[in-house]
Amino acid sequence: MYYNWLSEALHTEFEPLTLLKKSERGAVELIRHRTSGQKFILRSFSGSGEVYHKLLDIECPYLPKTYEIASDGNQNLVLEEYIQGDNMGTMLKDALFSPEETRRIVRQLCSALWVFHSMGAVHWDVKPENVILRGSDAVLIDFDAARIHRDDQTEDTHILGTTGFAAPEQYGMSQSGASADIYALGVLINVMLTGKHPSGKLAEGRWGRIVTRCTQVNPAKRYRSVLRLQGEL
Amino acid sequence: MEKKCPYCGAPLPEEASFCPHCAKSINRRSQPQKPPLIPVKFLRGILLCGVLAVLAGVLYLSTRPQTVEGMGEVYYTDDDGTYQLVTNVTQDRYTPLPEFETTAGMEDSYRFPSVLYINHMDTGADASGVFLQKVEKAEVTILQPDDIEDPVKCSSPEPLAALEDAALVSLIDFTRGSAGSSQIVWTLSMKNGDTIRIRTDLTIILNRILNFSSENADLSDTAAIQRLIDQYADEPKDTNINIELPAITYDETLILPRAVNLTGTEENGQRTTFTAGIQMRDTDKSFWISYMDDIDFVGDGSGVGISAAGRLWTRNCRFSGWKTAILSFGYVWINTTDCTFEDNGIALHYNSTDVTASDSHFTGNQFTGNDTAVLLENVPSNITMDFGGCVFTDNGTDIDNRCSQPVDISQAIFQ
Repeated sequence: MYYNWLSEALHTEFEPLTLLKKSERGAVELIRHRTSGQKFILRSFSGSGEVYHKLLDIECPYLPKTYEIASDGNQNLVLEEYIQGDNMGTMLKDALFSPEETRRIVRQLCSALWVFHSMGAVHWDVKPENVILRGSDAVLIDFDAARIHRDDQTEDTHILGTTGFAAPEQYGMSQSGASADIYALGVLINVMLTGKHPSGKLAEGRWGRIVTRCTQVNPAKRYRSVLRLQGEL
Repeated sequence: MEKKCPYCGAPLPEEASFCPHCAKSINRRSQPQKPPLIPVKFLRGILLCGVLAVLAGVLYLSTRPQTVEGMGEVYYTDDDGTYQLVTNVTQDRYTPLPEFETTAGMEDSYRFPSVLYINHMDTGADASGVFLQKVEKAEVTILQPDDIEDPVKCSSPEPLAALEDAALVSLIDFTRGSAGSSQIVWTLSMKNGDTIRIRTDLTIILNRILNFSSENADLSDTAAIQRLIDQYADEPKDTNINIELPAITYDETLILPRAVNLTGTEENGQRTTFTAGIQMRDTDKSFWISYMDDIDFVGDGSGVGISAAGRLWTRNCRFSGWKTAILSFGYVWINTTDCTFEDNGIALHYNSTDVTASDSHFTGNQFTGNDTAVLLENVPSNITMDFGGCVFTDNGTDIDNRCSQPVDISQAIFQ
């Protein structure tokens, strides 16, 4: 099986450097190719690897390249580009971003998110800690939370149909979609400019209006897509 | 090995996108295409012309009562502002449901809520309170063919405690005789004379039902049931397969490759009994539930009573003498109600992920003398598990809640 083959090959050809993160769901490790010295990120996790399978064929300068994924039932092994640069979360502790920098970075993040949204997926975890600044490029990392977004609710509704009157909690699996990422981008813009959540201090002028539009309570009132937001910038 | 790395020549499996030997990517990548966007300014221009034209019309019409209609949602404007009215069957107050397709299986009747939400257009806030004061009368009707065998019924719209965010809820009831196409119509008659109509197309599809019992099938031992089930393994998933088992003891492990409903019977004090358990195979996140009713599972201190890699609901079953009585793993939701668990290592062991819940009920169970009654290692969904009416007696551990799942034990008895 390919999973075993890859797992074995990675073990032979690579050496582990640092365990970056470990949770119930899996682990993220920094590893190094023994002969070339090149660094990679290795993710092992349980759950759906569907997003990574789709990312295999994608070229986007604002996302880490997914080099390989192997799945064995529920278990997945993902080899990913290691992004060397400055973490936006850390940078924001010392300084804010200028409107010009913010505009460039958010436009790049829109391109990155478009990759997810165009494949029917959602990132779900857009925040400064997940943005790495590599030269003039912003790279959106850590799509562990990313899931393929199901628009239809067949699953829930079918359950309704088979169990009679089911508990109301069960059909409340409200599937917020791409608009959840747009909301998070709005907050990110505001934090980049003011260091604060929009509820604390809203960015000034036109930026404030853009943030407000991104963070509307009603998803229908937000930008319809990241491309619209990108156009606005 | 089926191909070679184009860079270093190392042999690679066919699926490979990357060569671990020389650390190079070997698959072709492309940039995702962005659709062309029509410039917003251009759109605004067109919109402005349209608005001016409409405005003239509106000025004329505003002097008389209006009727607003829509599929799944309408926007309604009066002197106080604009409201978004949404109907659906979920708790998502912003997503309209113009069409709803559901199925009728073997139950006597089915019910789902048709829910009306009222949002302030500008803020998205719940505007039910303000809006309902402007409503003279709210009605729900079902448009359906005259010759339908058993018409779809609806209750008159009212607030419902279980769906507190909803403005009004009508409960829709149907049976197998209601199959076909119909339409749910919400009509709101406003005090100012306006009328609002929101429609949802409803389609009810019949599941195929296959009933087996000793009268029409050989159910004399485990191998015989296994043959019967395997014969129908490839039936469409929504076919209901019901097997009524005679009151005998099955001493080999039964394997379920798909959802099957098993009902036990009782004769001279003996109930249908399994002594080597049931294994439910991975059904690929299927939403179909295997119901198991009135069956005894008697173990010898080892093994698993029901190992569930498919959705399961046990009702009025008895489990005793298992290392684990019910084990959930993989992508599975299980329910167990009104069952007895006695002298097992672990009675109910939840260790599954990544599916929606079937139901919140874990009510009416007796847990007696188990090392651990309920072990929650991983529970998919953060629904509150309701253990109402359960009685926990003489267990080593009653509930070992390792994944901090919300549980309601307020109506459970610990003694």
